[in-house]
Amino acid sequence: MAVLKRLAGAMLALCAGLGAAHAEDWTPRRTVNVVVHTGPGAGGDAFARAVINVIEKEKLSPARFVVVNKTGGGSTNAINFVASKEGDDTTLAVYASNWTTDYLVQKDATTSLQSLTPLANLIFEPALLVVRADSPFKTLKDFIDAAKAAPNKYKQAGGTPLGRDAMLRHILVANTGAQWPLISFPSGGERLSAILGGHVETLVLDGSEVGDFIESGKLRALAQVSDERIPTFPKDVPTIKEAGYDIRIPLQPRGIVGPPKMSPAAAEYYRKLFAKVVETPSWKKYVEETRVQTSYIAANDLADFLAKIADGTRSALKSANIEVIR
Amino acid sequence: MLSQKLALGDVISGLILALLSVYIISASLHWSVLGEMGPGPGFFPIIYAAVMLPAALWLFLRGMRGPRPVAAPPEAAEDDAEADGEGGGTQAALATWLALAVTVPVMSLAGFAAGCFGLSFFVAKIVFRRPLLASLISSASIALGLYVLFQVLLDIDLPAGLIGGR
Amino acid sequence: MDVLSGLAHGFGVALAPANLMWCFVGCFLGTVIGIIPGLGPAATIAILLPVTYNMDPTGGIIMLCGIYYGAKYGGSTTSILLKMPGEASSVISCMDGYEMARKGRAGPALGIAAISSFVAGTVGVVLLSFLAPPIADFALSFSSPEYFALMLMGLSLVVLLAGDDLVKTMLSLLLGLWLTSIGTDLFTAQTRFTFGQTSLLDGIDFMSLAIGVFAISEIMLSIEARERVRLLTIPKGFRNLLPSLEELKACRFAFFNGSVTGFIIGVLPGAGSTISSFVAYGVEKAVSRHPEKFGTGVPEGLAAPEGANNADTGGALLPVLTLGIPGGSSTAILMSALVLWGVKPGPLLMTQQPDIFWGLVASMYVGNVVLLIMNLPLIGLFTQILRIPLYVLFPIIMGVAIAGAYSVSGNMFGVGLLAAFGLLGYGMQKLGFPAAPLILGFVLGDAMERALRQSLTMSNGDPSILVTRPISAVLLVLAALILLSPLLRRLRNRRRAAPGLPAA
Repeated sequence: MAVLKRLAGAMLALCAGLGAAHAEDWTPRRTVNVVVHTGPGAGGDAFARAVINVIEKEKLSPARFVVVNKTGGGSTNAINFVASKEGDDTTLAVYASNWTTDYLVQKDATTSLQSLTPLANLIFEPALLVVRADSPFKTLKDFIDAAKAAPNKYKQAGGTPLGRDAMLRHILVANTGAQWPLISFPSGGERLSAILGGHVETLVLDGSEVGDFIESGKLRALAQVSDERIPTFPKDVPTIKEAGYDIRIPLQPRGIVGPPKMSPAAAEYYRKLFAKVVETPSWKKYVEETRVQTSYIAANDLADFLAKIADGTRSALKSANIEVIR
Repeated sequence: MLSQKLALGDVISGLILALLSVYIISASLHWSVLGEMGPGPGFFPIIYAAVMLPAALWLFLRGMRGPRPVAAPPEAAEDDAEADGEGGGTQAALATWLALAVTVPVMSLAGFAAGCFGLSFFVAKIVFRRPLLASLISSASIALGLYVLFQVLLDIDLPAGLIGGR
Repeated sequence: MDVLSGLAHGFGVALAPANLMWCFVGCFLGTVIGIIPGLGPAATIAILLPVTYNMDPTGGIIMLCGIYYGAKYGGSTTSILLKMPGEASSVISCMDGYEMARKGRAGPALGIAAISSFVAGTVGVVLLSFLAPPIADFALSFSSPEYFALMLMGLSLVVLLAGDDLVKTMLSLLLGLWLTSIGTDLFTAQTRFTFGQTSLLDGIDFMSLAIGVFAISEIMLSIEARERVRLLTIPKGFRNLLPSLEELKACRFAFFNGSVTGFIIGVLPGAGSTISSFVAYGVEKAVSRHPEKFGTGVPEGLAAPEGANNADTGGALLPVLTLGIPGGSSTAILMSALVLWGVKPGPLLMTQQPDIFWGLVASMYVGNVVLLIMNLPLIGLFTQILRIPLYVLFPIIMGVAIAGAYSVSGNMFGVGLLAAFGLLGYGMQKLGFPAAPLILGFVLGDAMERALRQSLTMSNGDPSILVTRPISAVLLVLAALILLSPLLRRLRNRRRAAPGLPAA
């Protein structure tokens, strides 16, 4: 099976290569390794495979792209690995929000995302703040007011304290004076069964996890965790700002970076490649199916954007009393 | 194998585990044990280390008083019986382990196939005392076979060496 | 659509030639990756997912599911023959499976594993087809206090896994608890016991630990015992290839126990097939009339966990298909595959897309038969592995273990850990520490700590939450019963055997 796949990939690359080789000044001549920080199937890995799938389907590059899973310490092993590939033109990495967070709180995470070569931000993953359908809370204000009146009575299910859902809680708590604990569960499935079983009151649900929980009347969305309304989300749900809380929304960006000191020609090639990726029909289909939001940020603005994300995260962590070491 | 006066294995393992539990407790005390949001990272380790410490000390003291009159666990007794006949067995076992341990840096340096060949050759030639040619053939085919199985057929990445080779 | 007409419709879908072929392909791939440690169903499904994009969704999901439950069948093969578990859920099968093989009953052991997998796998699918909605509600009623009670019950099984020496059993268990807390704490992101090693931040991989403690140490013990030529007796003749009637009879209860335990624990998103196989083994030993023989190669000690990890499949798919909740990494990837095809797993799946739901369920009946037919003839082939001379077999085992440890961890540090755990397992064996409690503590400790801390956070620190909820109260009583019965027996025996010595 793997042999067949490899053979097919090589054939494809060869055919595409004949056509495209003259169009660009620089093209990858070897297999391009795409480093992700998760194991197969999890968030970063699934996203990387989806992007590679678009590149292959739309025949955007002569080279073969393969996912390299560098798990360990959240993003730490992955980012340190990319940093060690200094000057390599055939290594890319898919970053997520924890690539900025881990650097701020982990001693071993010695590489900052900004020190890598920025190529493109591709998506934001929007989310919904939900309660169970039979919950007394009809709006976000209902919930916040109740959590103000009875501190620590209501609970939110989440993952690590560094995740986006936890950040949102930190920011809301710091800005409203309400108080509720975050209960950590290792997997999305456990979080969902905690809220469906009525063991916690609220949950931040990633776009890709929403499924048909809202339509089937199991959960109710109180707010969209996004700066603007997302077309694939239920129409009548306000954003957090529209619900009356003008706070900085923690973003869940995903995009592509290269190792430090990537050659300018190669960086230019990848920038053009990913600018093309987000315009293709396959990409649009992917975005719709997984309820993510295309948010292409070109390389020259990316460094600023990543720095801004890091600053926002830093202040959210501080307000949550999590030790920031950098 | 055991001394008549004290069960040396029990004494040593009891002591090591007692030290381990002291280390666990002292490390855990640096972390939050009971925070305002519920139990912290130190909570659970302190609980099990608090059970571990007396158990380890009990084992230590029991060992000091000598081997237990009741039979040791059946599997251990059986292995001892088999091993006691030929003293070289333990050395061969530990040598095999050492070869495995040495394979780790060898593979980091020269890749999977080279490391696997070395390990196989050691086991065949030194541990099992096979003839040189048979050892060479078997270890070369093992290294090649596993390389083909994993790297080529299954597309599983194998350790790559610093100086090249997988 | 009621269940029977749904199933009839489903069989129509599953028995269509193309889908039957995909079912076969999936089961075959699953068996292969099940045998190889370090290559699990989750990774395989993720890698093959893009290949299936252009397939018909029904055929695609049938194949991917086949990989998922086929891996459970394959996982036991190397556990039995080489004491090297191929999957985490087959670790406990090493206990009696390998001992059976040592006695020359390798063929029957593989047969029992296959038959038990078939029976329990089928029971799991039957329960999935007929009881899905009520059981889904049951799964949701399980919260952290119940998980804590379940894990505590699991840990209490340690007294059953105990060898003769209770102190050493306890210490082995506690060491397992410590090993599992190495890594980054989920609740606070605090790193614990990592000694500055980046590679330890995600904790110790279970397969490296299990293969080190079981397979590597077994190699060392064999070499020490100077088993020069062959490790195990090679079964000869047809009678020694398939289980005897007596052996199957001894497994009667194990088939039932494995099916039910595996299914119920499989349904719970926070547990998983490794835990279900351990619990089934413990239950089997608890009700056995000859518990002292467990670990020496009794067929029911193999049938129970192998059944449990296959019944678990039906259980684990239930919350995915009826609620849209994946319990483990394999089911999470299966679910994302469904989503990519435009299928929405959840309460509406059964009515809105009956082709997919019932086609998949029916294909699992078919798949279990396919796996049984495929595996029984392979027994003869697999047992030939034992003909390989040891000086060839041992390096192969070590090479496969190294490749597995490397592919799971992605670095040589993981291989170093494998070697270290090999030495640990060997040392423990020499010093009379049983290995099973260490593995049990490692498997349950993490989930238990989480459940305990979640519960206490939910109750704002009030420990009464652990005992006042009905399901957790029942589980805690069960745990107490398990703990007390052999302890009392042990106490009595000890008093009789060695008067004058205080009982441990």
